[in-house]
Amino acid sequence: MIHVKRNKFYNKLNTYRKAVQLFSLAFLVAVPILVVNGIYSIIGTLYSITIFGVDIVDPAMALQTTILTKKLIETLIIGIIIPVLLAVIFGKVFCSWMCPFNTLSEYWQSIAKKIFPKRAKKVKLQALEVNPKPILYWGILVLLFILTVLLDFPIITFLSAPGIISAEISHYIMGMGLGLEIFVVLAIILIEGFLFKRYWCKYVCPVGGVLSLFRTPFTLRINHNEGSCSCAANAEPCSKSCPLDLSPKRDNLYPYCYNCGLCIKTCEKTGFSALSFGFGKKGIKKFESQKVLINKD
Amino acid sequence: MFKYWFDLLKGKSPLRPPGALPEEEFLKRCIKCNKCAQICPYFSIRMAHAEWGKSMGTPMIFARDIPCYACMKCTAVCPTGALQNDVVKKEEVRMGIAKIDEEKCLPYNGIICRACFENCPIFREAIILEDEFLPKVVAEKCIGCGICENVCPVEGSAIIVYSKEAIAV
Repeated sequence: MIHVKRNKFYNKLNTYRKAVQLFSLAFLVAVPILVVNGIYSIIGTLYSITIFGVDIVDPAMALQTTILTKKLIETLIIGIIIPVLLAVIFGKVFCSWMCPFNTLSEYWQSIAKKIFPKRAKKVKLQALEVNPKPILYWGILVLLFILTVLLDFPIITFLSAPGIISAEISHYIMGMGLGLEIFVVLAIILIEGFLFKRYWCKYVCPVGGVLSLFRTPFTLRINHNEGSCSCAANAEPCSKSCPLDLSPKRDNLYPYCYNCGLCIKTCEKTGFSALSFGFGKKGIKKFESQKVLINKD
Repeated sequence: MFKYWFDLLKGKSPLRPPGALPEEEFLKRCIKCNKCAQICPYFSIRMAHAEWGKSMGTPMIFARDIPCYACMKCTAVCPTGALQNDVVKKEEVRMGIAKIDEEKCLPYNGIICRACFENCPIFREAIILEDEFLPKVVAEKCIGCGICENVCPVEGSAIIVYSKEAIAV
């Protein structure tokens, strides 16, 4: 019984995630349309947005401005409270639930597979087999911020794919035409489709990178219960279903994983329930392995 | 350098929205969130495109198209303080200074025209009429909103607002 409930829960969770992703895209289109029609209750883009008077600022932008100006700006500190709380409790859920670039990229990957099946297989092969070491992720993030300081110019703004997408939607609807920035997003998507599968969200994106800084030992994470993990060693349906090509069974899942929960959903389908969401790392529980035995019968 | 050519080609002199910090600091602070452009009820604020180089994606006002009416809504929504919201009265705004091209200006050529004088929001202070006829800009009072540039009947405008500092390209 517990198993059926879990299965339903994780299936539902993914349905909700997809709904929120599409809602978020529609939301970004709706905001400038409302603004053009004189309704100013929600204004802004994913760089910074004000929803009914509540200011929200992308922590990556706040960090960039703080580093460049060497000043603590009150409005920025207030603005990052909500995203930081979200990141502390649930991890990088902004990426998996709301980021329009991730939504586009997820759909693009599934389309690319159908249009160029051979190409997709090759791209898949280039992806790393094992979760890369966290130093790679942090290294790229630090490098980007060092570059910002060296150039003395806000380059992170031009590397924030969600920001660019939302800003360009706003530009277009407000009658300012599309800017060259859109080519940054197109370039990333094309490279993702033909060279390196999902490299941007996995390694480079500074928005996700800064959100990862707020991960604590008690943040939502995917736990792997070795006791009930009974798929054949090489099959790994969980890592095959991962949009970022990560393996939830191995170490170094974080800071890369953005808690979309697709691996758990797939694991539930196999009937072993070896993966689950949890706040903080949890050890193997006896009752879970017993439950698997019951399900086998 | 390109700015000069683009100015020439477009006949446009861009201004920053009211309350903008000095150009160098402004570029570091502005995160291109579009809030100022969205809140502007007159659609005066436009986000610059690639032809503005370093200023790409930052807010600008092209007064000949739509000037700033100094409603001061944009300064209140800026999250980074690139537009300082301590400027609340429109009289304190200093976006730029208007300059009259006396060769083009109609009164200086003997034709009666009071378009800039009558539309100036700092009425009778920022633009005065010398001998009840010739318009003159009072630099200390001019807020640089560009309404005069917008209403000037001369082709290409005989009164143009130049931003306090050259906008970085």
